[in-house]
Amino acid sequence: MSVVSDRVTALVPTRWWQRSNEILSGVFEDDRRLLAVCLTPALALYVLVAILPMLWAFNLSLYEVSTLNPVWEWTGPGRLVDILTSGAFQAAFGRSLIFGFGSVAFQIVVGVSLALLVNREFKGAVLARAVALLPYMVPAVAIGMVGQFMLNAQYGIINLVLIRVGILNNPVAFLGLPETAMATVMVVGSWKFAVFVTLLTLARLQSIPENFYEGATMCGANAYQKFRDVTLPRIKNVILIAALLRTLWMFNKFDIIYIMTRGGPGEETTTIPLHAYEVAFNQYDLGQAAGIAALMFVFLALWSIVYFRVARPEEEVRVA
Amino acid sequence: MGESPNTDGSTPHLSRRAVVAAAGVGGLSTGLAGCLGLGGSGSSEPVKYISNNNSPQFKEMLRGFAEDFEEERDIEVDIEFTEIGGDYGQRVSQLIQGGNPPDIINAEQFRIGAYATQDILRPVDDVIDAVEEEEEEVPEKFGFVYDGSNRLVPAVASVTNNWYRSDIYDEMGLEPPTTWEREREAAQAITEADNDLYGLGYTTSATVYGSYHAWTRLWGNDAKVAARDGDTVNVALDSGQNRDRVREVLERAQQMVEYSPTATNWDWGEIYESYAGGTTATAIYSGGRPKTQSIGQDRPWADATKRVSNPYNSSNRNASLGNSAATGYALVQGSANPEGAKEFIQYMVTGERLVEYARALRFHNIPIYESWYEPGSAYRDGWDYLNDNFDEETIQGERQALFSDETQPFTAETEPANPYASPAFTSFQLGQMFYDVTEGGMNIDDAIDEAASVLRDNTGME
Amino acid sequence: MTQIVGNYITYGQAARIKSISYQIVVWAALLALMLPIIWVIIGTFSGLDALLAGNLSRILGSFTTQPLRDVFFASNFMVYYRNSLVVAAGVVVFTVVASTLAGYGLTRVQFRGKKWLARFILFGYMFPPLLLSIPMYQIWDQLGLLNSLLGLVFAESSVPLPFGIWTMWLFFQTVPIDYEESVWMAGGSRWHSFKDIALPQAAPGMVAVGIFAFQSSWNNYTYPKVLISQDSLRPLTTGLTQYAVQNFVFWNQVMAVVLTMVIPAFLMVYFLQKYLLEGYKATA
Repeated sequence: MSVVSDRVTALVPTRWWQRSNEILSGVFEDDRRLLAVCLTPALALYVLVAILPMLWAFNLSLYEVSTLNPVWEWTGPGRLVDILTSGAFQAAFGRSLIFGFGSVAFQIVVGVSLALLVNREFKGAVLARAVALLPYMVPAVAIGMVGQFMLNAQYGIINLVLIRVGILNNPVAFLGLPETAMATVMVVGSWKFAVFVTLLTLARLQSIPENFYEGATMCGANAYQKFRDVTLPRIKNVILIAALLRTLWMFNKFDIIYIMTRGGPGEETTTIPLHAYEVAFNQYDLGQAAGIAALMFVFLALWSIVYFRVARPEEEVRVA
Repeated sequence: MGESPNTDGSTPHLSRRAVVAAAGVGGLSTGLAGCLGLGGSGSSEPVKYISNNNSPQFKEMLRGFAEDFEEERDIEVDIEFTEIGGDYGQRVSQLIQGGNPPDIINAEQFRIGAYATQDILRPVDDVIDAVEEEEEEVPEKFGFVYDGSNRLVPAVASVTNNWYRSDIYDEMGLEPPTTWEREREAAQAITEADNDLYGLGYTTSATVYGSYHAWTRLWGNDAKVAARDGDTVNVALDSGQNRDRVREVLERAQQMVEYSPTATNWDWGEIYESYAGGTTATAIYSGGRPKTQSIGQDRPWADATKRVSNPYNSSNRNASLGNSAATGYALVQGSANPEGAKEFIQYMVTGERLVEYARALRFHNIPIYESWYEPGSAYRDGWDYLNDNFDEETIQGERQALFSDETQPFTAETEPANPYASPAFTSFQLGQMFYDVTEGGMNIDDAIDEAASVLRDNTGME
Repeated sequence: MTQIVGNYITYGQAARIKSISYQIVVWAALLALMLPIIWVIIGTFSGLDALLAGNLSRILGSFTTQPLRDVFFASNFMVYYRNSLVVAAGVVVFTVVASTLAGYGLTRVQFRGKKWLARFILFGYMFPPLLLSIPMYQIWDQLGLLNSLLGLVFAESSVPLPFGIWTMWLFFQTVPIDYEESVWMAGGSRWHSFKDIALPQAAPGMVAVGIFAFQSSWNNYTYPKVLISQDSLRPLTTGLTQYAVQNFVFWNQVMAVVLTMVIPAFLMVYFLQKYLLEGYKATA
């Protein structure tokens, strides 16, 4: 780090460097100015990319707007009530709950197990960890396409192998059957995102001193007791944060479902983002689509507030 | 181009009669056009065209057209290529909502109504007149008339083909699948035979192809989606005798899916892949892709791939059997250079450009000029691909289906044309209805009611 | 068990057997995790016909480098790749700088409502990005940032930024303020203590945020789709869909592109792993 900053320093003429040093020293002495300097880049971008578009979408949800026509006609908050009471919205919301919470539960279990597995030191552990973390780096678009290809009922490798080893007699359209479509999408989606949990958990596991475990061993603790008494309390908060973020992200997940199933078969995998997409681009009702997204936002915001109150995921910092 | 005679003089033509027939359909349009700043004139702006064909070959060809056009007319053309399907509509709506609409968009006839009913398309009657002057007259059914004016400049078309493996059919002594009875018998025999083949790909999906397949299947029993009552268009699925016919089709669907691989999420890609890949022996398709793909993948059955029309119920054989889907160009309101755009469209759909374009489509989409089908026409002359791979029976069969009353666009259920056929199509509710009664386990009458009610809520039909 | 260990094999041998069998379990699990990647590698070197025919021995027998050559020489792949790398680099720099500053500010300056501000930042994750695309298109149009890689950098930075701020916020709390205080005692300014003490100590956190930003940009599909319409400015994610043409997917070419997307990602997690894990510790 310091090598890099030295190099950068060397590139800049000394006078400028001194001058900017002076300015920055001044800025950093004053709390208010420091805060302004520190938060402005992040907040400016945040306003441009998140807040303004969101306000626009909330506003839009109160108007009758066709996707194909830039004319807005006031309709009012009654629209949101109509959406809430519509069967299609409720069904999509139910699927979102299954997809969102189901995926996150799956990701936590798989992600934490994987972290525990590659946490130990052994020859090749660095390679093993790199391999374990790799799925997180593969773009979701690619995963969606590869998943679709592997699961294809006609030529997909998964069916070919399952038939060859005799588990199946006939190919199964995993993405085409109401019984399997949602579960399949959840598993494929989680292949990548479970590793996010692994990453956070593994980082925390690596920081638990070895002598904690040695101490526990001397007290005669078995493997389960060590996990319960030494490991779990130390990774609990990491898991809570990961669960919060993953829930927000999975509820808004669009690309991987859209690429693999388009919300089908029928509407079996049409979660809220896909429902909003259908309303906007198949039924051409942009205003209603914005309303659907706005209601989703309200749900996630309420859920997060409750979550912060109950789970206190950022509490760990002050303890440590 | 014009040297071959028009073989069917009685076909109605686009430019004149259609305009009269559909006058007075909608009343909304004139008011809004003003707000949109109709006709930004300055030809200094480049013509902006969003193309829905992004294959390298098409990109190169269309860029070539644009360059030649620029050189000839000194009007710059800026083409953006987007993947066909959902992405395309998303892109177009983004530009429209962003106040930066393109001049030219691509549209199939079964999609154009969604744009037209929002009053965002400019009339193109003058373009069609100019094109007809240069080429031949364009049959009326390839156009789309809304509020008294044409809104689509058709370039090519595709027709409902029921492609089947004549090698298998002949070997097993089966009749070509022209009627429900023959189709079902063949499908059952092929599925039950020890040949790793399913009889057909009976699709029950809420996708574009799912909509197409469902609507085509309804027509096979003379069942309609819409009916007109004066100025209003009604959903006809759930009323009177028509409902009984819909029910018959759905009952049959429950039976036919037994002879098909699971096709609950199939779109265009899956249906032709299943045929070209040797999983199914029959495929209903808009256009020639099951055959062109079998040729492209060197399948032994490429030559044995023959067409018949959409299978029909012999006791209800009154209506058109299949869909004739023209596809072409439309002009968007509020764009920067409409005059240049009109010139460029005309340039693309006439002369050697159209010949080149139609050839690049490899007889998947087919010409809208009947004379082109004649051996010795400029189009066929020296085009090895078509002459080597398609027997005369298939070529003339497609032509006959396209230019006769055997096929109509989905909009033709009502007279004047149904502008809401397009939102009904893209809502995917028909495919959903087929899914509901097969894999979805819903009672047939409930599924019909559900589909009808969603269509009423979302399409502008009553 | 103890009997056997004591009598027949030494404790050292027992430990080795245990360690080896543990490693077998680890690698077996990782192999299962890697199956999709393995299939991508096989697909990259297979003929399209064989893949579509769905015959395993034909697939394995159809070895060819044609898809790779098609991708490298007959498509815009190199341009997509360069764009992806340029944008990812920009996103990493912007995200790391903005998150580090924000994290430092949030830890070292006391003000009311700080916790709520930090929580509020997560609200950006609660709206489906797809519906934000239309206003974003308009805002970027106004700013003149459409069809610009710089514009794409700003847009894509918004995704890793909230998490980056959180990570740095947590990380700076683990950097004891004592060292900084000693600099102040010695007459150094807060700027110097930030630059010379806090920053180097926060380096692992910055690397972790950087890697997160890289993967986020490498992964982003929605923003380039909205903001980039010029083919020569497309990154790999939207470029990937260019290998599916008119309902026809060139699967082996898609696999080849995916493989090239996985490689830099792998190098990154392999070589920067130490920092990555260090960065997410956020503990004293």
